[in-house]
Amino acid sequence: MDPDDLAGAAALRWTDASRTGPGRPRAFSQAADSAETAVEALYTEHAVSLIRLAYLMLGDRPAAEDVVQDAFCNVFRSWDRLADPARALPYVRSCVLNACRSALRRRVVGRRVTSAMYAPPAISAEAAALSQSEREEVMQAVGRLPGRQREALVLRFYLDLPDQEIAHIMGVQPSTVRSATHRALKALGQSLEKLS
Amino acid sequence: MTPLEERLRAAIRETADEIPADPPPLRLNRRGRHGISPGGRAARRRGHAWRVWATPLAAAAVVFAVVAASLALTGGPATTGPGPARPQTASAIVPPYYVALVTGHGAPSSPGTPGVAAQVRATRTGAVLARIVPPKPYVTFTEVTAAADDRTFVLAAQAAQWKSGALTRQQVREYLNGYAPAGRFYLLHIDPASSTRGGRASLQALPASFIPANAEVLDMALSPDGTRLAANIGNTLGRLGTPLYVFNLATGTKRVWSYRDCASCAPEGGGFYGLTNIDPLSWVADNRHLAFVGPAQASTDLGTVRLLDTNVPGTSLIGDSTVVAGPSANISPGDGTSWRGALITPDEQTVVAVLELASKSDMSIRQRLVKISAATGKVTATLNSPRIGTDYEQILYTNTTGNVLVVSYAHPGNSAGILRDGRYTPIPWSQQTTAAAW
Repeated sequence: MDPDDLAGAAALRWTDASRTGPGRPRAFSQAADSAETAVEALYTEHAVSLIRLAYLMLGDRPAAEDVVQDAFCNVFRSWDRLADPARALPYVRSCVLNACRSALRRRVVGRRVTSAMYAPPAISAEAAALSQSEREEVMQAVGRLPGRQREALVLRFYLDLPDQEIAHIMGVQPSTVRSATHRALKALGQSLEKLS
Repeated sequence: MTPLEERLRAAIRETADEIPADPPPLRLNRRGRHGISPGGRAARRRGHAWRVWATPLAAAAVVFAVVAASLALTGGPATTGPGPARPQTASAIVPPYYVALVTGHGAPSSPGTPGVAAQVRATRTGAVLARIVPPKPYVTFTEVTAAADDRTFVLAAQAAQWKSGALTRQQVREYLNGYAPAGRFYLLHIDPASSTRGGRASLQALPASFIPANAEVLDMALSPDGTRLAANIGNTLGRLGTPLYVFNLATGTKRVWSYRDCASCAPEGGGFYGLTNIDPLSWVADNRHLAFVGPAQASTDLGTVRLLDTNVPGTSLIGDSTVVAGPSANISPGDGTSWRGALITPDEQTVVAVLELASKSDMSIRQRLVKISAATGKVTATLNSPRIGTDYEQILYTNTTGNVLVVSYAHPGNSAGILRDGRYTPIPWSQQTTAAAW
């Protein structure tokens, strides 16, 4: 079950208000207020899960926070143009994933110059008390997967989204999600088997 | 779900949980909504760090000098004390971060020892998120106190390793003659979510004039909203009659109350026991009423917990305050009773305190952690009664009602834990901890 569902519904109630009253100067301001309120409500409810999602993709907390900030700025700018404000949350998730892809592409370019490697999420000192070497191995194996496969796994196993929803967020067909997930799990299994 | 999938799910979720549940504030640019870029990331991050800690104190910006503090971020977990390392639920009911003063060289601390550094730590894991050393010319932190937002703290710094218990004869002579090293308050704001190296802790000097020459901070307490700092400041010559200061951090102004009506009266705490964070000062949630421990009469060992309305004009600690807890058969059953650390709960209903009870029969001293009704002045509960020879107990934190406390024990080997409705749950704790504030 998607832990964000209920909160998403709460955020979307603001959407209707934000779409009322165009035509008068004051109404425009009110719409802007409503959009801001709606986006802030959306952020309040979902920022943590989105930052965590980006963190899983990027392995870099500051970058993850930046990506989510940018995604919400994009949503704010285009709030009035959202065809279906009820889909605001998937839209933000798509923005976050797109931004993660861009960030990873930039890293790939940078890697050609600096030889820097993709860094899976580091095990922080705080989490070290909870961590196991196994977890580290799994996350490193996830980090070695191709981007699409990694996205599919994270969306399924972190957010528990169905294939249809994952496909919508990733901008692909559900069948592509299924095959990407299948390949990812197979590669992951082989990778972990080698280690053991 | 296959075993591999279960393994994957667990790893992903545990990794995701490394991101704390307090995201940085969203910064939307209304103009950006209509085509103007909302600004660069670096600018946003700087703005975030500034906005969070500076907003409530914006007025003070003109009087406070930002100092270059020596901040060193560390990633290693703090040394844990004895007992279970990770309480699962109890730590969730106290603020997630605290600031501790620590001794150097790995030496176990003892009450009254100043810290050579302050550490920002996670309550649940003991992980050190940031380490702050005193800006020059100061060399130690002697006190720490916290606001209720779990982000704002005040540290008291001192220019010499004075309270170490290893004074030279010359130092003792100077001390007894009223000398005290220079000191200064520092406002510390923490931002545990920040990922920038210096972003997790910001240190800002408060006006040097807050601490007079040849005086030291004996105890202090920051109001819940972080705008007022109460402090007992004095020296050995003035200990009998140490004044109470309340500084308004927003305006830089101060008010002073003294024992002018009672020349022989002195606040409990401070002195022998209270050199570090013994907490005879505490605020209620209205940021207006301050509880302190003062004497009922000069000959009484056990003082009284009194409540001062800091908004009402006046300068007399005794005449302008009211008693909320004091000596009675219920509280001090025999001679030799004294107390250290008496905190009023933010809801103003309860005083939590450690009583020291000297036994005439075997000359032993026991301590008793009690809850006292602020309405009746009677002890309503005794939470524990450890031997003082083995466990020197201090109250470091109380929640609004007093049913959740953080207490520490100094001997043998420092430890601390959460006391909730009578149940004690240890938390990770460094033996170098000399004081801490939530």
